[in-house]
Amino acid sequence: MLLRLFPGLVLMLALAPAVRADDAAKAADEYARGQALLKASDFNGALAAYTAAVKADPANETYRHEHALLRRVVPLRAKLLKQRDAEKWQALAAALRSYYADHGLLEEVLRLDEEAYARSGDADTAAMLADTQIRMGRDAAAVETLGGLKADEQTAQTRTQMGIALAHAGRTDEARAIASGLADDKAGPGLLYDMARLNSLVADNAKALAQLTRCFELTRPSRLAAFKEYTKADKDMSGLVAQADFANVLATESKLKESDCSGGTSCAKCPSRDKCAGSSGAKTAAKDTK
Amino acid sequence: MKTTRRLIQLAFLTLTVVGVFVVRGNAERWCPFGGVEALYGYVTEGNVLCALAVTNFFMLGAVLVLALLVRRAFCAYACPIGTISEWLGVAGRRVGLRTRLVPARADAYLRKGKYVVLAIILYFTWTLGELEFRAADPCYALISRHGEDITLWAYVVAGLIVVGALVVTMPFCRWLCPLGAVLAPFSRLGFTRIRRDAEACSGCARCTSVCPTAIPVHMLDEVRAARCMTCFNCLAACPPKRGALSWGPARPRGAKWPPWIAAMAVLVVLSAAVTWAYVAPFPSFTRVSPARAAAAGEPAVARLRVDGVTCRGRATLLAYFLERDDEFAVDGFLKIEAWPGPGRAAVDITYDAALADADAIRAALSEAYFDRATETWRVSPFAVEGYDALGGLGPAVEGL
Repeated sequence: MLLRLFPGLVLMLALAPAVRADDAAKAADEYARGQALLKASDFNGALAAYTAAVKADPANETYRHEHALLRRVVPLRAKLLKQRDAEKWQALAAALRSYYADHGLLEEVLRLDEEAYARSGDADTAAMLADTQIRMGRDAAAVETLGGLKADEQTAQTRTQMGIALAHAGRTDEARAIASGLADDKAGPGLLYDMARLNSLVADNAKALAQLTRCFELTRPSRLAAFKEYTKADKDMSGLVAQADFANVLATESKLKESDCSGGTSCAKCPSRDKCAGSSGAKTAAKDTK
Repeated sequence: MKTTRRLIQLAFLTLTVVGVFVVRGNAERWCPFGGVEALYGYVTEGNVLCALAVTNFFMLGAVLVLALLVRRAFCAYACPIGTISEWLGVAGRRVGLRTRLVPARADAYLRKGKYVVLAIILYFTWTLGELEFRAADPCYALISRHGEDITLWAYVVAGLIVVGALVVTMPFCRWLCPLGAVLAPFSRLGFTRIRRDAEACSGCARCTSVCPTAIPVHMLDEVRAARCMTCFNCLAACPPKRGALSWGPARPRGAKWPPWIAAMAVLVVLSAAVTWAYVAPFPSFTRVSPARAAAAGEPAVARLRVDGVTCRGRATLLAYFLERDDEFAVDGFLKIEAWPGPGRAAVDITYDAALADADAIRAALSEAYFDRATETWRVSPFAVEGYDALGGLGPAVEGL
């Protein structure tokens, strides 16, 4: 009866799940194509593919997220090329670098870091460039970058990176000499991690484990579990992972306090209240850094 | 009158149960005490606590008006906890449990307990800006269908209230209810009173024995006690031939009113509050931009419908996107007024028409933003009606 009266409706209802499945498959294909294009540095092509993925499956959060980011990144890349003001260039570069680094686009990061270093030539940009070079396995280039710094420009960070690059290059004695001269008492979690890497590479395991412990203590609780997993997978730490005490280090708790943000139900008690998005403290901090 | 009151109690209890378990609505937003908890934050910061809304203020206003008219009639007619407590007492007597009488002196001390409860709740709620006692709140455990932050304590408290109500008349309502403490001063000024004609009264004290709040009615010319719930149990218990008790405006006017007026007052005032809350709610989130004083042009209002503005935190995030400092920055933003809630929320944004326009505001709320302070990209969780998030990026970035 229903079929006679409303054949179109029945057909539509019957085919609806299949159509949805088709759309989801098409969206997944487009998204995968977009990722491949992004890896190949075809940003416009990737954006078009992401747009097609979102249109095919608008409810998919991942597609929407990646599309929203890339749709901002594409014009920023063009803007960076035209930007003459040094401060504005740095701001744009920071935004792009963050995107590239989060998406594993190391070639793009390297390009930005090289230009930033060429523009300023200071220790901070050298450290960023060297870090990228080391991550890409270009240790000789990192040694050259860091070696270009004058003695008074070098920092604990650049010296640590130099040690890591030398250790990677097989120049262990030079790396050990650098490691032994580094003071870690005022180091933050990032530098402590790099120092632990260096000491792991030169087989000073006791020192490396102590530094890693302090590093974990200074890491925010919400990030600690992922950070520990990262540490376990870090090739530079392979010497430590085999140590019996490494399990104890992995059991280290953060000494920082942080609420479990549940999307706004306990903001008043959150110690990060002034730093979180939307608070007046965060805006003040943002303006101070301009 | 007793039957009428029971029917009204049943209607409100049914409404609550259906609203919570069938419609699966947010009943917390209709609790009058929520209005008390949210008041300080609303006055000082322009927004209400998470999970609450301006509907709480409408309900609070309604029960305060009711207190001025018909004392604590809200407790005896509409409050689900009052109904459950009262009916548990009746059930306890039906199964043979003896109602324990609390000595008057002890009762007087215990009645002060609700002020202590109120003070503690308000101190922590107002200073910390959160519903601190929610996790142990049996009422919230019920209306949230065991909400995410409910602890075992909520059920322990609920158990104590249930057991207590079986053997003592409405112990929570008499001694611990913080809303009762809020209503007390208004109820004391209440326009209507139970009055006793001393010449007609035989002093049988039946009225006193049935009063759920242990008011010694047979010893008073007029019931001024703030705890009177206008339940009319006393009137019903008074021997009809004598007619010693009556109800109406306070003396010296002294007219006798039929009890159904109290029931009507409850229904009319609460209905009016609910209607008003739906028809003309004021915003539950307001943020004024520091730039407001410097506004030079004509203020204009962009009336937006936005998906994702579900709570105070999300409304704060909305303001964060509006206060961005990249090419989508809206220099002329003056004020946000939002009505957070499930689904598509109404958001009014006042802006300087000389510096911004509604399209720029839509873009600012929708586009991803790189926060230089934290060096992180933030993708907007909001979908603004009328903004094409898949289309061109607009004049702010086109032509680069």
